Amino acid sequence: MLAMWVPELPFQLACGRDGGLRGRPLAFLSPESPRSPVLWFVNRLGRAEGLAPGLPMDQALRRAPGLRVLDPSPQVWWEAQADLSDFLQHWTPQGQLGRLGEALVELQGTQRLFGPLADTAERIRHELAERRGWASHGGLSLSATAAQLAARAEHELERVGEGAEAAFLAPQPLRRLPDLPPRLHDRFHRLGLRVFGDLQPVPLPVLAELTNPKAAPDLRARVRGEDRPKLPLLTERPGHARHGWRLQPPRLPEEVALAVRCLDWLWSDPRHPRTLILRWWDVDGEPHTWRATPEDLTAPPLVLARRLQQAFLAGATRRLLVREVELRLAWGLGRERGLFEDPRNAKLERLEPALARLRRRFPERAVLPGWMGREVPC
Amino acid sequence: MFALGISDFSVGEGVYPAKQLLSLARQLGYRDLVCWDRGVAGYPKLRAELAWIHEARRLEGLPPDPRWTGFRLHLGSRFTWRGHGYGALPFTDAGYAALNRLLSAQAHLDHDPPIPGLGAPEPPQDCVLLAEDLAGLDALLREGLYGALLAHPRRAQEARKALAAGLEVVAPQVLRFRTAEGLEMHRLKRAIEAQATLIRTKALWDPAEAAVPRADWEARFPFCEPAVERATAAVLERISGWNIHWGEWVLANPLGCKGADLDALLREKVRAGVARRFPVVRGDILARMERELDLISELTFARYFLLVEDIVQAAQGAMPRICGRGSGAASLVSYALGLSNVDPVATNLMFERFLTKERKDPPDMDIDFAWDEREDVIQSVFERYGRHRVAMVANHTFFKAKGALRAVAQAHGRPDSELKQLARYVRGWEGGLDRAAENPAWDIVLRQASALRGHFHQFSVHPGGTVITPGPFWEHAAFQPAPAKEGVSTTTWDKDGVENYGLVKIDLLGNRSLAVIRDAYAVLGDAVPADPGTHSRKDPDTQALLARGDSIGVFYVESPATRQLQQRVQKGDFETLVIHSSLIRPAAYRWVDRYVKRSRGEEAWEPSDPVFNQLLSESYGVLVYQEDVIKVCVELAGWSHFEADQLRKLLGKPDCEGKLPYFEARFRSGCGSRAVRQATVDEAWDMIRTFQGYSFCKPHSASYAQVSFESAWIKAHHPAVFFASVITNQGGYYPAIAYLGDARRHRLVVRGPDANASAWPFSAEGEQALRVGLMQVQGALAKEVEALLENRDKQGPFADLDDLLGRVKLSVTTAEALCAAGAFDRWAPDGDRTRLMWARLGGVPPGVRPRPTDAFDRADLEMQIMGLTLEIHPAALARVRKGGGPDRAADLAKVLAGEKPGRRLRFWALVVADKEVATEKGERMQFVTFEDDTGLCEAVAFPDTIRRRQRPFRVGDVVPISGQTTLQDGLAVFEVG
Repeated sequence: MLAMWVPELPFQLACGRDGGLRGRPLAFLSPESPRSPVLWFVNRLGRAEGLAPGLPMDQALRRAPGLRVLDPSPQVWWEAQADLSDFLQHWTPQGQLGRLGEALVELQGTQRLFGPLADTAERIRHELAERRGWASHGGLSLSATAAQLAARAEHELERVGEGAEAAFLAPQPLRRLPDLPPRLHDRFHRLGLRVFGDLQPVPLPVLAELTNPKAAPDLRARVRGEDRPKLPLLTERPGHARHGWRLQPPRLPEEVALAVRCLDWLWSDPRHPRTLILRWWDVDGEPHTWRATPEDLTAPPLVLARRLQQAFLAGATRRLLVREVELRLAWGLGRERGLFEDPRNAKLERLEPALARLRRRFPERAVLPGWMGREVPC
Repeated sequence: MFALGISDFSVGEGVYPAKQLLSLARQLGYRDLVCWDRGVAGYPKLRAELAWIHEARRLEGLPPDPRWTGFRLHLGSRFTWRGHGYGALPFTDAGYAALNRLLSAQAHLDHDPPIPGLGAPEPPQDCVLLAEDLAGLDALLREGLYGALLAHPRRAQEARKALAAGLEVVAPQVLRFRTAEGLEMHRLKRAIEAQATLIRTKALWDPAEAAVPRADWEARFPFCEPAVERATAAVLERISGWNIHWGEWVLANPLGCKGADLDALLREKVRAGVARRFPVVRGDILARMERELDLISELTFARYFLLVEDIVQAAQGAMPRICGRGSGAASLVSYALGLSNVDPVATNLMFERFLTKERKDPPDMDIDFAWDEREDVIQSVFERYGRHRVAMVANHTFFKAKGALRAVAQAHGRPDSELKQLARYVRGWEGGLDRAAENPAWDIVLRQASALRGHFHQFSVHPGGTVITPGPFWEHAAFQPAPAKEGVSTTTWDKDGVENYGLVKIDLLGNRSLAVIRDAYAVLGDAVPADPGTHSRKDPDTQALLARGDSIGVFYVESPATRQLQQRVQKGDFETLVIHSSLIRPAAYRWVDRYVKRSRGEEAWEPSDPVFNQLLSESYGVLVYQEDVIKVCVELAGWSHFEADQLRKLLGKPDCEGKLPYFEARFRSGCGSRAVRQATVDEAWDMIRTFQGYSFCKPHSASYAQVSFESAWIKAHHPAVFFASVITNQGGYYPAIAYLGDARRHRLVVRGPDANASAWPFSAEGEQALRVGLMQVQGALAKEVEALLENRDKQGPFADLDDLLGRVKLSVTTAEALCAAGAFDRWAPDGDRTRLMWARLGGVPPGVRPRPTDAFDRADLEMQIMGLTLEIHPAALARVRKGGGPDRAADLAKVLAGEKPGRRLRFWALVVADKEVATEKGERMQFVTFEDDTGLCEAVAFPDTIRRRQRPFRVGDVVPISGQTTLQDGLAVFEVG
């Protein structure tokens, strides 16, 4: 398993655009408080000069006069992350993206294509540097946790041999364990357990009492470097889709033309939705959810879009503007089947290939079961 | 003819505050206005505004305003019954009671516990009933009740149909709104009430329903119909014949005194009390007693004293621990009955502040109980006197700047983030408004919020005001379930309304220091002197403690400002503390420097007029008490006590600025008629004018000072018991860690929590040690800790940790919290809490080598779990870990020992108190109390420092500070920055 880490990806992107930024303390402005600007991310050189996220910009500039403060561009960063995913797909189908600049990929089974795993990992790093210009670190291990922490060691490529995972992890501080809840970290700390090595010999029943019986085996495997997760396919077409719409500026529910937008989304995929969830957030960040009934799902897109709009207006009772809308669709195909066969779904799925062909042939026409080609009063 | 006025007390509908509604009615040509809200909550306000119109003219010395002469206000209320809208206008006392009963019954539907005798909501008898539509009238007639149709101009057919059927139709004009803005305000109020956005809120009213001049209204149908006109006039005639009993004092008899001669009973009790209270009953005491009793008898007020005595005795038995405060404490009768603890004769308290012959509004008494007993006392009053006779007093809250902005902005759908920004801009409303208006989206929000300011918002509950009526409560006023308070009803009127009607209230309040004293006395037992009040006042150690400002934890004088005042004046006697308790309040605080200088003899006080010497010599010519205002007005302007008391009341109210000029005119004319020198009048009025805001009367200060002395006595002689009691009762000015720091400065040993030694509260161990209670251990489940204490009480102390874990089943969380707090330290002499923690998990597993706990880890754990440290002060911890700060807080005191001020100091400190104030320019500055392992340090942070620091100091912060020492009026003050 290879863990890839492109450190400070946003700063590397910025330096890629403007070479003059290299070797300087850099920081991004926080988008949250435009009136009294504060720093959001700070690069290593900045941190070495005593800067930290949350510091007001005027103070930061006084403390480090050479600091360059940049405007944040999250869109570019997310695109770069997607780009990293595309890049890794060329090497292996299995993998999973982590935080910005982090990815975990399964290289087992690629030896016949690319040769030994260590060589492949090196080539991946090199190509990433050549094609994208991103410096990265890699960690290679059978254990996902060991691979992730090996990449964090910031060697070019850190290999943790089979059977050496526990020894490699032992001196690492426990706070580096990904996703360890702070409450649990505090409890371990009070029990005098500070590093992975302290926790490794703790028996499973004791660990279960300290955490909970369900999470304990997984935690134990992770601290011992015995975790071998099955990674999903990087190329796997999701059995679901999310369509997000951020409303800028936020609007009153009555002013959101949701039906039109939803019709676009529903029409964009030829498949028949199995589940449909509409979520929206008002300006206070309060989430709201509406789930379509089975009857709604068999309705033609035009009708369904109208019902969505009505459900949205009926549900948006909080007297606030709406900030974001999201439509979550789970499609009939490419999705795991339930234990028991649902005759309605089976019927729909049988129809899907034919419907897909029809839609491709008549892209501008609405084609759905029960759809008679005439306009339905909404 | 008359109009029906809907005021802002019709929540979610009415757009006119009382004053506007009155002037609208008058402007449209009406001389009779009926209060037409849902409920009668707004009636006293309308009445008070009307009374003020006449009073303002009287104060100015002008004849009554002809425009308002003959203007009459009538009581009425709308209600819903069986889905139809009605209105009721009572024309007898029985009708008024029936209307109140209906409104109360509707409010108490499904209320638990039920109100005895209230019954189901039915339309009231002895009231003119007006149905809002024909169906409603039909429903009324079917039940055999007589009513009339309230004709609506847009439903002319309905009125015609009713007339044709021979039914009575009346057509007074309903004053809802007048302009388009008014209608928009109505819609806004609807939106606020329904918590909806304006865009989806429809108005209840039609634009055609706008109020019109009386002549226009009377010229059109339905009023122009002779039958309608006659019927309307008949209604007016009927309701004009009855007047609500306003201003007559309503007092309940104490239980068990039915038919007894209350005056004689009171006289008997007071005589016995005086004999008990005074070792030698002097002539002046007897004379005052007789004077008070005669006045009480004349005003038939004896039952009130007996009632309060009955409540206190029922709650706490024959030896209550209460603090009677407020003006009631000025009465010798209260003192004799045990309702107050300060001798009014020796302390020279003015009985006229409480009761005078001319007084029209009923006086009230404030009684403090220990904070944890107060709820039970209130419930016992409800149960003893019956829930149908008792109600707490409501508070009316009105929209202020921030609340109005928030409500309007929410109705416009603006997000929370914007509201916060707006609130920052319009802090105090003034100054920032223009800046907020830069954003065009806020323009309408600001405009509407500005219009909404001062309108009625909602009901809340007065902190302790309780009213008991002789008969059912609805005979006097409507009442309703208290918002957010279980098992209690409140009036719909606020304090002023209740007082103006004549209902005499008793304030039953909570006080933490009474609980502190109670708990400490319970521990001290025989060590408490027989008469702790007198003993503590005369005790030299207690006086010395107060004189040096060593009063952290002492009731009411523990704040830095009061301690510094004590240090500056360097007097700890009772009389000085009485003055200081009042001087520290906002109204008098502006003269504190003048007072200090004069009291120390640094500034000579030469009264400009001998009258000031006579009135204010006690406080060196400074207005300190509310009575001082009264005295000055009585003496200089020749006012009656009652009249002067009106001005005193006004000075504490928010609408003071608007009404003060009328009183000024009256004051000046009064002084003029008595030939007082102009300079004296100017000086006196200047002092009165600036005496605005919250202030105390002398009896109140004296009562508080009495409690302060008792708690200071405990601190001076039994500090361990004192601090244990103070921290256990919580809620003091400082966090627990600051009290422990002060305990250490009093040479007490602070011992950590211990499974074998600690109780739930903090406790004293002998006279020299203080034990932290298990209540302080956050994260330990209370039930499990109680089980542990119970087991220890039954089976004796635990032999070791295994014994404890065997006898009590502790969850991992509780065991972890207790262990981290150090409750099991006795079984780890090396202080290694880690090993103890593993005990709950069956011991350290083979192969695991946990890191042992060192002193710094222990301090961290204690801070996390208990918010305090036992071995290492948080400031010392930060100093060792982060370095820097070569000086100490105690270095500041060197300036008092002769060191030159201006020395720069740098040290780590814990913030234990902060007070933010605004400078004259409106900038923020702070007074901060820092503490480190060497002592306390009072500091000031000026606006520049706060700006540089980006955020103010907050209690609990451990901060590196630097600045310089200063010497201010004999006090060492650290200037941060």
